[in-house]
Amino acid sequence: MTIRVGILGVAHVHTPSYVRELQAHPNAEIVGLYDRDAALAAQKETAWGIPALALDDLLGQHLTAAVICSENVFHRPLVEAAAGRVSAILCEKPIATTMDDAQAIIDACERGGSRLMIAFPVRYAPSVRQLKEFLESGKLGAVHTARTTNHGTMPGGWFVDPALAGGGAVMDHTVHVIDLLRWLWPGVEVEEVYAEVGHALLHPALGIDDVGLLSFRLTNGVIGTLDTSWSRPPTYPIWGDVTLEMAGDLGVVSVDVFSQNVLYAPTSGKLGWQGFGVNLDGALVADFIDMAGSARPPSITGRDGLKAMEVALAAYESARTGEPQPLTA
Amino acid sequence: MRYILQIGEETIYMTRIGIIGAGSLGRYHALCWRALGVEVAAVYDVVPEAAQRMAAATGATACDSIVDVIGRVDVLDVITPPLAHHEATIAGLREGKPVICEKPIARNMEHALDMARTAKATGVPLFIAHVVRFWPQFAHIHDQIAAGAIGAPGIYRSGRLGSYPRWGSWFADEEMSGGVLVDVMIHDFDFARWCMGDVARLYVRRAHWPGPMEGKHSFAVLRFKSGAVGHIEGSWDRPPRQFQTYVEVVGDGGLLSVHSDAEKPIRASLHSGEPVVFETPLEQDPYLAELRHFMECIETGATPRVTVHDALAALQLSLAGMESAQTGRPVTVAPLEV
Repeated sequence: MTIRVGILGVAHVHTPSYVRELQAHPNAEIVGLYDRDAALAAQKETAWGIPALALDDLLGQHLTAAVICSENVFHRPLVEAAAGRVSAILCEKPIATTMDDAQAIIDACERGGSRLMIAFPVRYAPSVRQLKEFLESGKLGAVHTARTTNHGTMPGGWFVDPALAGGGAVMDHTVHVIDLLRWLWPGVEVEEVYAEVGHALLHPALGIDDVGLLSFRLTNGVIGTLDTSWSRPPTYPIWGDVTLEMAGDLGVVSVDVFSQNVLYAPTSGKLGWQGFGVNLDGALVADFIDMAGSARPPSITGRDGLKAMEVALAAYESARTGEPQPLTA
Repeated sequence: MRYILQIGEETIYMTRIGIIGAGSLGRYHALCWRALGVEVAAVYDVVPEAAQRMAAATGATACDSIVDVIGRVDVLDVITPPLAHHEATIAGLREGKPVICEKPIARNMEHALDMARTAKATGVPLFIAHVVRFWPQFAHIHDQIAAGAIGAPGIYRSGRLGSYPRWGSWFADEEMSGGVLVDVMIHDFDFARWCMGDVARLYVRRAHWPGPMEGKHSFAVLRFKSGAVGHIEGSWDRPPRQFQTYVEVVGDGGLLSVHSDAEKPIRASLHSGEPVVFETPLEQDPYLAELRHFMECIETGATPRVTVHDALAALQLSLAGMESAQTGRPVTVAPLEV
């Protein structure tokens, strides 16, 4: 069965990668794309060879699936438009920028009978899967600490516009690692977060936070930190990282997800680490298309998206009050 | 080599060092002194056998009191557990003997302030041996930041992760050593201040898991007075013989980063499977560089790379970190007055 897919919003930097993976997928067909910015939609129509349509026209194309790749604040209206009209929805992270919007997205999908999946591709990294198995094997014993990072390059564009992104580095980079921690230990949530958030510390005149350091305690007693900073200069050989290091009763385990690279040194320009061996977006898209073609629930739920985003909001609140911020159960 | 101290008209040739504390670091200092051509003339340890062993190895006189050592030497090198720094340091300073004292300056602020005030009142030099400032990779990062290589620093990260002190020593006794926050992380608090300036506030979480595989690990999140943000972790939770350090500082003009795991200029493996471990190969031993620097400061009156004020400020951060971990709240760092 071919899954007919519509791309709802193309503003997110991950869109080209998802489009490439969908176009390469034997069971997927991209029927059309929509963006609120008609010029951007037309540009992508040409670049990707995918018809740009009005939102209602696109949703009238008997789609099975929709991929939401708009600016963060438009996730809600796009999901609400698609809910009930498509069977499967893949929404880019963060799910939204407010608890109200996140809940509305989940509710709309439940009401409409659409299955909502949140794009947390790092879950598909082989090293992260090995980490989960390693923790489940008990070889590390009880875990006590988790030092984590999701560094990145400052993305620019709408990502640094609070009105469209809902926040900067903390909003952008809290959710991946928090999702991993919740997924590694099912049922475990962040209990409390303290955060130092820095605005324009690394990028002069940036109108949003570019430095974030979260100190957290989980409900299983694990303490740790998460660095969300856009602290990779443009010359850095790779865009950023996702790392986790845990200490337990019986030893230590470290994961550096994007460390499988070939070094490329051109005669001019910048040094590059070129990744190999893993295609996280490909695995994410394959899982989504598999779900769309079946009756099974999504492997990454709207609640997963909400709980991860909630930690980012709590971090901003902690930075505002200067106190550790408890999270609701 | 001969070091000279000029006090008014009087010239003192400082060729005689007195070591207080003949533990493992004391023995290492003794080797450094020999390499510098400085005589270890007298040694004292609360364990007389330890003093006698060092005396036998160095030709020094094993003394049965600190006062006895002070009477026989020009400079005092104090390498005891932190709780004992105060007694030996004050005694040396009052007798006009320059004192080199191991970090942390003391286990508590009362001792530390008294040491600083005595040094100030007597005018006798006091040096606190924060050796990290003499490791070349750390000094390089500091120098690059100071030269503006990364613009205004916005975020600082460092860590110092080692195995639990299981050799039955006083390190494991929090009352004696101060644990991870005072013994380990003070290195990074000092280095962070050197690179980034004073800290406005800090928030610390710590984990301690007792038992046969006892471990301790602390995370500090800092706000510097400059507005920059910092992250420092320290631990005693690595498997045996493992030790890692890392530093990364990013500013609006670039990034500097170093990690001990990546720094392996020599490796070997054997068919027997027996692991081969090499010490970090450096042209200049950091401890030796540190002691030479302090002797040169005594001689010239120059301001040392790490001052008593720096040492006080670092201890203050360690102790504030303990307070934060206990209360679960951030601690605003109070102004430091000597």
